[in-house]
This record gives sequence, C-alpha cells and structure tokens, in this order.
Amino acid sequence: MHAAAGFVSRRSSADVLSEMSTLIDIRDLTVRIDLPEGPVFPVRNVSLSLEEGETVGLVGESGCGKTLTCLSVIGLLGRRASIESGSVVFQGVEIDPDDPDDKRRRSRGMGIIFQNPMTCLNPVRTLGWQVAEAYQIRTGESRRVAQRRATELLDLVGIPEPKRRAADYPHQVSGGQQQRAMIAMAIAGGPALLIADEPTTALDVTIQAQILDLLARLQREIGMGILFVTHDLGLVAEVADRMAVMYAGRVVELAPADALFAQPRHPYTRGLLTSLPFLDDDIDRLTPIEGTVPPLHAMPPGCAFAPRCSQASPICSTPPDLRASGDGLIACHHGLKTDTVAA
Amino acid sequence: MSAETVASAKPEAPAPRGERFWRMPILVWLAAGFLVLVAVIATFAQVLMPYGYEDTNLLFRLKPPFWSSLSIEGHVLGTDKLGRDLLSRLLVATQVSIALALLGTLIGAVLGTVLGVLAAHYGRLVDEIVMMLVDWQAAMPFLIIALAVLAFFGNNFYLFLALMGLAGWETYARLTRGLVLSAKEQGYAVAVRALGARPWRLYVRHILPNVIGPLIVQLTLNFPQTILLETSLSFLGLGIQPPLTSLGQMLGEGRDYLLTSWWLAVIPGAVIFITTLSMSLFGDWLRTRLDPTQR
Ligand SMILES: Nc1ncnc2c1ncn2[C@@H]1O[C@H](COP(=O)(O)OP(=O)(O)OP(=O)(O)O)[C@@H](O)[C@H]1O
Ligand code: SF4
Ligand SMILES: [Mg+2]
Repeated sequence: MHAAAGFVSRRSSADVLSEMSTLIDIRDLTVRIDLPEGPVFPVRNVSLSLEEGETVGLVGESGCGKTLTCLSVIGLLGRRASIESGSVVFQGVEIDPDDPDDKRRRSRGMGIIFQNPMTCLNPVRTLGWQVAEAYQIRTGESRRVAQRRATELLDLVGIPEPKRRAADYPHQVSGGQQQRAMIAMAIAGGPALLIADEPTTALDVTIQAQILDLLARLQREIGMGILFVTHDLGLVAEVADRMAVMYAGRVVELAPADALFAQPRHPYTRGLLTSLPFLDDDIDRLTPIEGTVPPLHAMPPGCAFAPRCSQASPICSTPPDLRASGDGLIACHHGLKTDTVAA
Repeated sequence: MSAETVASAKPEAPAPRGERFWRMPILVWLAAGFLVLVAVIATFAQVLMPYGYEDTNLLFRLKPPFWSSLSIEGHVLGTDKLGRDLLSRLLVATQVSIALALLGTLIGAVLGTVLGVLAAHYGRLVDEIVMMLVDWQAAMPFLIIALAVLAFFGNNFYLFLALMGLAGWETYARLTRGLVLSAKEQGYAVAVRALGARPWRLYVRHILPNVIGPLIVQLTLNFPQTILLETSLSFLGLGIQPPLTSLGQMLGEGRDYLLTSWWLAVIPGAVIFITTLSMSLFGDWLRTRLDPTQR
C-alpha cells in the first residue's frame, strides 16, 4: 500500500526535454515587505535549485528569510510581502504568479508543511476529512475516492490504526500524529516538491527523529524533492543531499552536504558548525557566534556578516558575490584560507 | 501566519454530548420548553385551531375567555369584535409572526454573512463600501426607515419581508468580517490555500464551520428584535394587513378595547413578551456555552 499509485511525479515529456531533472529553480529572488517605515528586503538575490528526488537543507538563524523564501516559492506571501524581482522556475517552466493555470500547476506540484501542526489543522474537522479534502482539491477526484485515499495516506505516514484515527479531531491526537497528518495532507495527490518549513521544531526530540525518518522514507518511496528548512544544522545533516546556508536574506554558502559538514568554507557556516555540540564532543570548543543579525532596515552596505566576522577586512565593505569554492559556492571575499585547511 | 494567536484561540475539546450539554439552568429549560411549544404551534396552527381564524359570528362578539361566567362554550379564549375565535386567531398570528421573524432573521443573516465574507475577502474598496453601509445602517433608527418605506411604497408582503431581512444584517456583516479576517490568517486556512482551494471552498467548507458558533448566537439574539419589529409595524397598521393576522396586528386591534375586553390585547402581548424573553434567555445561555472566555 505504501507505494500507492498517484505519487508518481506528473511531468509532461516536453518539460523533461527542456530541463532534464531540475525540479525547482529559484532565480535571483528578492522579496520586499512594505513596512510603515518604508520597504525592507528580507530575502535578497537568492538563487537556489533542487533536482528531482533531492533533499536540500536550507539553514540559517531565525529571521534570515527562510520562511519567506518558501512562501514565495509556493505563492503564499501575505498581503504586505511581494516578490520584488527574480523568478521561480518549476519543472522547467517559469511561474507567472498571476496566471491561474500556473497557480494550479504550483499547488498541485508542491506541498508545504509548517512548524506548528496544531495551528495548521482545522480544529473542527476530522483528520480523515482534512486529508481527503487535500486529496480532492489537488486531484479533483470524487469524495469517495478521496476518503479511501485519505486512509491510505494516513497509513503511509505511519499513523497506527488509520481507519480509526481518520475520525479523530486534531486535538485528540499527539503533536507528532498531528504533524504526520499534516504531512499526509501535503503529499496527498503526489506533489513533486515538498517544502518542509521547520517541520520538527515544535516537537520533542524523539518525535523529531521519527518525523525525519518518515520524510526520508517518503522520499525514497515517492521520489519527491524536499526543501528542508531548519535552523538546526544537526537535524538536516542526516537527510540533506545539498545544503544552502542563508544569512540576513542571502545565500552565503551552497554545497553538497558531505562537503559542507566536512569542510565549511564560509565564516558564518563555520560559526554555525562550531556552535553545534553533536559534531564537536569537546565542549570547550563550543563557540556561539558573537553579536546579532543586523536589523532589516540597517543592513551594512557590504557583507552583512562583517560586523560579526573574525576574518573581516576592508574589502568586506563591498558585497561579496557567490563564487566557486571547493565543491560548492560561497559569498565571501576571503572564505577558507589554505592555511586553515592545512590546520 | 500567526502561530501564537492560533494556539491561544484553540477551541476547547467539545463537551461530551449528553449530560454536560443538557445541564441548563431551570429558567433556560423553561425558555427552551416554551420555544418548542411556540415552534409546534407555528407548525401546526391550521391543525390545532378549533375555528377558521377569519370566521366571523356577529352573535358572539367580544366574549370573554373561559374563566369568565360570560364565556361561550367552545371559544376558550373568547372572541373579538367580529366574533372570531381568539384562540384560532392567536395560533395563526403566532405562526405568521414567527414565520416572518424567522425568514427575516435568516435573510438578514445570509445577507450580512455574505457581505461580511466579501468585505473580508476583497478588502480595500469592497470592504470600505460594506463597512460604510454597516455604519450607515447602524446609525439609522430602522423603525423610522421602515415606516417611511412602507408609507411611501404602500404595504406589500414581500416588501415587508425584505424590510425584516434588512433590519439586522449589519450585525452579521460586522461579526462575520471580523471572524473571517482572523480565520483567514490562521494556519489551517493558509494550508488550504497552499493546496490551491478556490476561495468559496475555503470559506464554505473550512472557515464557516469555525465561525458558525458566534453567528448562531447572533441569530438567537437578533430573532426577538425581528419579532418586535414585525409586531411594532403591524401594531401601527403598516405591517400584516387584514384579513391575515399577526401578533402585532392582534395587539393593535385589541388596543381599542383595553378597558372593556383587555384580554384581546393582553393575550397576544403576553405571547410576544414570553417568546422574545425565552429566545433572549436561550440565546444568552447558548453564548456562554459556545464562548470559552465566558465559561
Ligand atoms: N509579514 C511580515 N511583516 C513584516 N516583517 C516580516 C513579515 N514576514 C517576515 N518578516 C521579517 O522578515 C524576516 C525574515 O523572516 P522569515 O520568517 O523568512 O525568517 P525565518 O528565516 O523563517 O526565521 P525563523 O527561523 O524564525 O522561522 C524576519 O526579520 C521577519 O521579521
Ligand atoms: S566577506 Fe568578509 S565579512 Fe563577509 S564573511 Fe567573508 S570575510 Fe567575513
Ligand atoms: Mg521561519
């Protein structure tokens, strides 16, 4: 039942020809928010792509623009936020946010799960109803088919006794089960991309691991791409193929996960990693990054990390571009010095 | 997506149906019982009435109810100035008044809810216009408007019904707008939008079930007002026209005989009073039941 039909990615052959296997390509995305004090740009020139069946981990401190990036990909920016420039190419075709066909393509092809499952489930509808509804909205199938599929989906995401749980209301099940139900909704109808915005932050540690396993298993079985957002580097280390590190609205390092964890090249990434207990058993060497993220309305003109960076030099007052470094890309004028590699 | 606000607004687990739900104060029980009685009367008036409500009998005019020695066999509540059976008229009048108030309340509720949803959905100009109408309506003494409209266009059942519907729509519009605006920002609404649901689906299937409680309470609070509006207008001769009758109209007719045959006015008046009071009591109780902050 797990490999249920309907989870095959839906791509026309034309798309496949035009762009072999890039699922989503975020190109030079800038997000603008209009505040009473004037516009701010919490996401700036972000470029990020994700292959079919790949998991990309998007990490960074709170407020660095991870959620806004996700919301612009799936088209859920609120009233005040808007895409200032840049584009999102999904399955080889650029998304026009105003085109109803594109909207449908996007909502069928992408699913999203949020941090807090309790608030993302409708309190007055049963879990089964909500999963069936999600399936019905995506596929346009009849209610009966959708209800049967809902039970299968609840089973697929590892909810025990799915038939009985389908009749439960969200408050009647645990947070972990709620998040599983959310995942069932997000993957109903078989989207090609799953955006997981801190899906485990609100859960306790053992449940976190279970949800992570679930996502990894779903990816193997269904073959969807996952954009996994978190501020917890230790969490994505196990699941991500590639990593994107964001700082103050920009991608500062983009690298294969192995390479990034073995040898982080951007000073900010190195800071993040040395503040992680699990990679570094020597507690004395745990060093949190000094200072705080600059506020949105007072971004330094050059590298936004400069005020906190031990390697900063005068050239850092001009903005660094993404450039190749090792197997990945970094946005830093200095980056990994050869002597630090040797050390 | 304001996760925190949603968490705090999370409804309590629905009380187990059965014992807890039925634990009502005795007064509310009485009110509910009376409302059931009224509903039965309104439904089965034609079956229950002993005489035709229009049947005149000029031999038995203005006869008193059963408790008087002058009462006539068969006319339990006596007769009116044309010798029509008062009980039969009361049953039909209750039916007409309740039906009018019910239809009027429903029209107002639907109209107000739809306008409130539209205001919340479109925002900007639509919102401004709807809220302007709401303020305008709330600022006008509606009875005076109704009087003017009826005096100007003449009386007609559908016009009268439309006025009943317009009487309270603004409270629903304001309430719905606020409820929908906050519900729209909640996680579940965002998640459903992410799935690509059309707006009507989001509102009807997802948001409405979440906000229906306060709307129903508003309905029970609005209903007595609509009854009173109907009876006031009929009392003034601008509402239901003879030969049809309503509680307000009976009250108006009875007014001329207050000194000689007081029951003609007092009995329909009492029915109006007890019905609206029961509805208000029940509505208040319902509100405290459904509103977690009042528990
Ligand atoms: N609707 C909004 N109005 C004003 N500011 C906003 C809005 N949404 C986001 N922001 C600001 O934009 C910045 C980026 O927000 P975003 O939610 O993308 O961060 P994040 O990386 O997801 O952080 P977290 O780890 O806390 O979820 C933050 O500084 C946030 O305060
Ligand atoms: S550009 Fe300069 S300030 Fe920015 S991270 Fe690199 S070294 Fe540090
Ligand atoms: Mg976030």
